[in-house]
Amino acid sequence: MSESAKWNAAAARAERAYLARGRYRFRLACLGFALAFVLIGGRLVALGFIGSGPGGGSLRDISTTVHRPDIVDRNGRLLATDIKGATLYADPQKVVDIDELVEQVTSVLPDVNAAELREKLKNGRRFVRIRRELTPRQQEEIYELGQPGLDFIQEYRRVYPMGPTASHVVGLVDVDNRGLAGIEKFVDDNPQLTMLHPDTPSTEESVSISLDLGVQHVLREELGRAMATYRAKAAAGIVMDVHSGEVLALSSLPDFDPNRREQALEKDRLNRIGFGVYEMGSVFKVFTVAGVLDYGLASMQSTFDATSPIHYASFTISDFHGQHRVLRLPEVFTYSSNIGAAKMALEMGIDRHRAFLKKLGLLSRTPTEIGDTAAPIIPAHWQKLNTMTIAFGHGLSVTPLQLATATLPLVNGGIAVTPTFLPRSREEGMSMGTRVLKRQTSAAMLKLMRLNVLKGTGKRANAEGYRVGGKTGTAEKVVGRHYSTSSLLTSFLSTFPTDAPEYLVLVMLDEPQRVPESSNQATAGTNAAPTAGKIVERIGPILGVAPRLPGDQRQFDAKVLASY
Amino acid sequence: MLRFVNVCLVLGIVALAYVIYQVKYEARALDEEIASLGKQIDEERDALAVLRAEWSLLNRPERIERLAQKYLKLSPAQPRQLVTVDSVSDRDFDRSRFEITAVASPAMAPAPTIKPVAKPKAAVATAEAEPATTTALPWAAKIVAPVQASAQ
Repeated sequence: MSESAKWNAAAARAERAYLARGRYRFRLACLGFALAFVLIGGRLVALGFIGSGPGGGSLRDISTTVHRPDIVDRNGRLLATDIKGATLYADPQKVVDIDELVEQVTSVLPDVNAAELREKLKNGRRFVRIRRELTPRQQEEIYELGQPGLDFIQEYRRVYPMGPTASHVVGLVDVDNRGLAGIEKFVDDNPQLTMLHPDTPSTEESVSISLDLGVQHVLREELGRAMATYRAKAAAGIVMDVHSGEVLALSSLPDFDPNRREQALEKDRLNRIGFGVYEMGSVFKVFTVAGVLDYGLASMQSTFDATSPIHYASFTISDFHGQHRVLRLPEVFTYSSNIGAAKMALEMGIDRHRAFLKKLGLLSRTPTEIGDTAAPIIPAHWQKLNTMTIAFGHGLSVTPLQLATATLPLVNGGIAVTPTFLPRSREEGMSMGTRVLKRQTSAAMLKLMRLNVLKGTGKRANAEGYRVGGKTGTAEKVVGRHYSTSSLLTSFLSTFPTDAPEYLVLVMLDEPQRVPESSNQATAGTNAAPTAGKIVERIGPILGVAPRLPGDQRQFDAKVLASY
Repeated sequence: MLRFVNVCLVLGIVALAYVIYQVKYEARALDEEIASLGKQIDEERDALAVLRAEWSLLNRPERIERLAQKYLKLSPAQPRQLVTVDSVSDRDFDRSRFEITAVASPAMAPAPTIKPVAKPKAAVATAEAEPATTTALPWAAKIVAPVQASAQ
């Protein structure tokens, strides 16, 4: 019995142990399940948070071109924007009948080369681009063909609503919407620009530039008229703010339409203001006169003997408006005496003359947002003769943009500012600039420029009420190896209003002809000067320059009011 | 007791499952709506870009200028036509009102239906002197008004 009792006890023990083990396993299983549920639950919650975002899946559209910011002028008027256009492509693997497809496509798009397309479809892999920038109507017609092998992708396409008006500044893009020139290229290189101007009227990001569309239009139109009137080969002009250095308008005719980018390649359509170098002629005398005044070598009362031409080596320097007498400094300026200017430059000496021009930035490239200007052509060996000829604008070729920039300190109180195509305030321009001239020199130059318009060669530039001051320049172009007396480059460098200068206007005409409108003359005073005058007359009100008439003519005239 | 709890739990699970499915479907519908709205926004934005381009195309200065020459009898303001408010006195203003009505009335004769619009108080006072000739151009009064107001 004890044997069986023993056995029973052992069995009970074993059973208890077995049950304990079972409970342990049960707990383990519970834990395992709980863990699994937590994992699954957690994953579900995570999935729920991620969700399927908007635009996911099939609603996404494939764009291969980049979206570019809009370009607007200083008043927010649109100069360049992106619109979406369809690009037609074929997937050769889905094409049923190549010949039929080619025939149908060419019936809608007659300018597609059939043979070339057929060849491409035969050899192509999965993507054969047929045509970019379809019009909505063409897209509709292609749809109606019902060809399974054809499909579209949406691509951004750059449009320039203003056409050629500001093309040289705004620039253009290539077929992939990448900037090729002008501000477009600058925007690509400086993507942070769009963040600098968040307060634009549209929700799109945009870049504003310093141009004023109204001024730009006037400049371009007047240059176009001048080109037609004086039968010039080309015309160019620039309007700058003398304090901030902003370029308000820049035009160079003939120009191109950025919507037709192939035009931009024609050599004749280059931006003459920034990338053409010219011997600018007598307008350079402003720097010569400013130089002698600033170095204190002469005063307004100084005299220069211009009785007879200067003979130097085998060259003769003579005057166009020859007076053959001793001239006072203002007369040298208003009669545009080459002899006088050459003598002034000699008084400065070669080194100081060169240093002065260098200080004004005329001897090196000027960096701008639309690219560095062309390099000036400087004489390799700067001799006495070079100094004499450069004094009246021959022998040193610079870009008109540099000429305009170098003139800024002459009229704004002596501060050199860098030119810019981006908006900049006048205070900023003045504080960034460096003083290169004495204040008195600038004041004297303004007096001389105004005098030249009142009594000298620039009479026809006198826009009523806007106190224009300026200097004419008639340069003989080098034809072959000699200066030609018939191929002229005329220019007018002006500022207004001279009592408190705000803007600078430079006009340049390439080979104007002797026409009745210019009294059968071809000098700057008869073509470039009146063009500048007309421009000032029209942009003055746009830029908010108050006109002031001599005497008391400005009365409240009821009849004038009634005429509105 | 335990059975009751279990039944409750099962019912609870069923209810929760139903709610979750409901919410899930709603969320999916909302997602689709977001996607389609997003697409719509994109389309609208593209359309806007086209319209903006068209707007500025129509507002090209050369076009406006051409239209102005064709339809308006206006020319660019000459410097002598611009005066500052400070230089205009009350007397100038009164005189101008008289001259405007004198100049304007014969020209406006074919269109006598045009009624003068409400004028500022001061202007009405002077206008009462010659009520017969107040066929003045309505907008002439508008132009004169600010000048006159600030001259006081």
